[in-house]
Amino acid sequence: MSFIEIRDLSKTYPVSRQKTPLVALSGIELSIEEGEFVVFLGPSGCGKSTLLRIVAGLEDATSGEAVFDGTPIRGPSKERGMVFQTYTSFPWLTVNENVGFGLKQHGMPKEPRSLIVRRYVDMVGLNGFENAYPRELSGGMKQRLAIARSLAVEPRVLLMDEPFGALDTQVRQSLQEELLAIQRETQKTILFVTHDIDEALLLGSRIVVFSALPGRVIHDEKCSRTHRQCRDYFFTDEFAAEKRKYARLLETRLLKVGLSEWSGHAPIYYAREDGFIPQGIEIALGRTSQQRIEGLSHGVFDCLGTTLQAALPLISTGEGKIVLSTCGSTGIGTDVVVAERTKVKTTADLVNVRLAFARRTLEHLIFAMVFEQHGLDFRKLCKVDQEHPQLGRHDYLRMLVDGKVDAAVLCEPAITELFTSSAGSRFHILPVEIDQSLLQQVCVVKSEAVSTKRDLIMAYLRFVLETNTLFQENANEALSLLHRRLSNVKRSASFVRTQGMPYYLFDNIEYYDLEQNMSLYLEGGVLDKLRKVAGIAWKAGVLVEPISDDVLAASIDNSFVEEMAGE
Amino acid sequence: MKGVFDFSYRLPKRTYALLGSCAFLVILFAWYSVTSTGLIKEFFLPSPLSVGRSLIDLFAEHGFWKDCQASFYRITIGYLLAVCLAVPLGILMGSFHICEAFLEPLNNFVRYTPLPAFIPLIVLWCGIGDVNQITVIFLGVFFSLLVMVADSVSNMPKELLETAYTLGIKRKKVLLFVILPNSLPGIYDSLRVAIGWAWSSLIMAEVVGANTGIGHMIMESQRFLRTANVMAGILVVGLLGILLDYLFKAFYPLLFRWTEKSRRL
Repeated sequence: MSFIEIRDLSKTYPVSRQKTPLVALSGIELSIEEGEFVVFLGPSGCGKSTLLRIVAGLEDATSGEAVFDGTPIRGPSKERGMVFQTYTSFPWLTVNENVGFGLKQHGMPKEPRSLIVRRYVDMVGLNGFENAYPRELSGGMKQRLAIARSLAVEPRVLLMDEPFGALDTQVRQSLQEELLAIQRETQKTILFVTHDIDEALLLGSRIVVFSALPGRVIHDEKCSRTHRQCRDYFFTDEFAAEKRKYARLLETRLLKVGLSEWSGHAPIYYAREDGFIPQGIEIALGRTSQQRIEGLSHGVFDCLGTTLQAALPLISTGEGKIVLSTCGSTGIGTDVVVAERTKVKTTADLVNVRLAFARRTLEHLIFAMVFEQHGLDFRKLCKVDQEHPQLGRHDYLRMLVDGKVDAAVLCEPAITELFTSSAGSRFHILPVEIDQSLLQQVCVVKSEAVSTKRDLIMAYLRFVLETNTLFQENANEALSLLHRRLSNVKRSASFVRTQGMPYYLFDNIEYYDLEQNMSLYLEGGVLDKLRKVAGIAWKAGVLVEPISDDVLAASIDNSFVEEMAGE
Repeated sequence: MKGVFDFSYRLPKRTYALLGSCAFLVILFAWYSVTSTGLIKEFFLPSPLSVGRSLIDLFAEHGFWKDCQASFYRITIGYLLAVCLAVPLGILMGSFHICEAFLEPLNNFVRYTPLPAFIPLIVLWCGIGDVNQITVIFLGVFFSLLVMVADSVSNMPKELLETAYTLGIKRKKVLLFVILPNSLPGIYDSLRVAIGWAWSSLIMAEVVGANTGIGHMIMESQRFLRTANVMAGILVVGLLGILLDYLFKAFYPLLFRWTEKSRRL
């Protein structure tokens, strides 16, 4: 049992002349340990103050409960002191009387009381103002007084509702530092509400981020406090990165999609450049798949277009859910095995030649699948660049041309580049039967976003399917665009096509049928394929952990597909 | 001179008093001018000098002391009675919505009924003795004071109450040690306004039906066409009003040193 436990807590307010009530908080689960400095960070009016007030006992939860040290919270108590944003000094009492007010009302005699009052007046630095009335104090001093008064009755937790929100920057900064010092001295548990990211990063030993209404916890992270002793932290790169991360988290009504720089995403790039992205959706390109996956964990992205193999770790931890098994036009982004004509005549020759791939990459998986399907012993795979996972497709292309390897997995625009170069004639594409859907990009959505941003996810999926359809209907034009924008190759796609060059080879591999994909999905075919690819990936060492069927089944959110099929 | 008309400009105390006296002097001068030149007949408007003479006469020969005494007695009892009832009830009304719901409509009904309409009934029930005037004063003060007290109590900032609760203070103590001290300046101001109502109610009651009192003297003098006495009576009422108000004002900074307003007084 934790010090403070919040279990499935919700709070709704009736709205006048409206049937549906306002949901301020929904399904909040939190455990807070003694001594933690927890910051509730969220946009204004997201219900974080409401949660604090429920913990204070000033408001009741609509459902669920808040438990303090083993007993459910019913009404306020001196165990849980509160500091408000507005100035709440009792104006008819002097500083000393204010600080001692709680103790006096609890019947403490004058002598011991004055000692405690002195201690806390000293602690907040109000010496010299002991007999001043609040009206004679500045805003910062009033908040110091409020803190001292709360601490004087020795609460076990201090609840602070944007206490420094009304102060100017300088005063706020010194109060923040003093609060940290007080916390170090007293080891008090503090729950602190703010919408200021800097403040949260400086103060919190743990930051809980709330979404806009209905307020939900969208992120909960413990932070190391070692470097947070002083303001110098504000000038570090780490701070800048953290700040960006939290700023992203707070932009809640935005579906942030992370896509790889992969030619299969070309339709989406063009739509983006031409401003056809639906409102509320933000698409970021680039970064490695590892960076994107971390981005999903940290809330930088809500949604990723990534390969199954990269998505599997996310799925196994329950962090992500697959909402669509394709997100990209496979017709142009297809990976093919390109090999030296003379050394690798058929797939069987792949054994014992030098192959270019980095371990645990998509190329690794593709080779694993090719070997598996052709009954070859994967252990005989001759790895060339295991130690250089940063190598990209263009590096493989160069290695192929330089003769350092004999086969590699390539996709556009590297394929065109290779076959239109003078060295092109030395190579050919192996007719391997790679199950298309296994290499599909999947659309993985952060589990929390599945319900909170449902409308945006639907809009995004619809957009992806539309762009893909359009792309395939206008393949020539689209391919020429692709080449102009994604590579240095000046030739147009139609030229490539008429020359009987690689795209005819592409035609041998079936275009991915979106409708068929949808029905596969609905019939559960995707799950089987997921299972199969997970097995292969694990055997090949691409995956570290095997994935259980339960996890796979749970990872697919079919409701989206059903919704789309219903339209 | 621009500074004088700044919205937040405060005059020095002495200038403030001087200006106040000037207003009186202007009226006095105008009064003296119209009477001494014979523009208005003595019967309609006696000169300031004859009013002063009547005032001395009233005290020296006609036992005006007794009238003042009687008036003082009535106003003290009537006012205190109203205050003693209205303040606690007002605090309850301002603190508990349920009390407000019960009392407010009834109170408003009485408050908006003109007091003179009640006087025949009061004469019928209470005669024309002290009880009559005390009742009128009570009615004239109580209902309006109740609203004002309730209002200043309900203006309590929510956060102050919540602060008290989170300090672990129970409701009874919150009422006594948080709500009450916070609303005292407002209540005090209401008392100051209410004493004015008490005076006007008193004179009204005495004019309509009484054997003694300042109002009674005024009424009698009117019947015998002693206009100077009427004016002398009004003068006394006015002067007593100024004095009482001054006293209320003077005590404010002593009682409520903590308020922003105390600095201006």
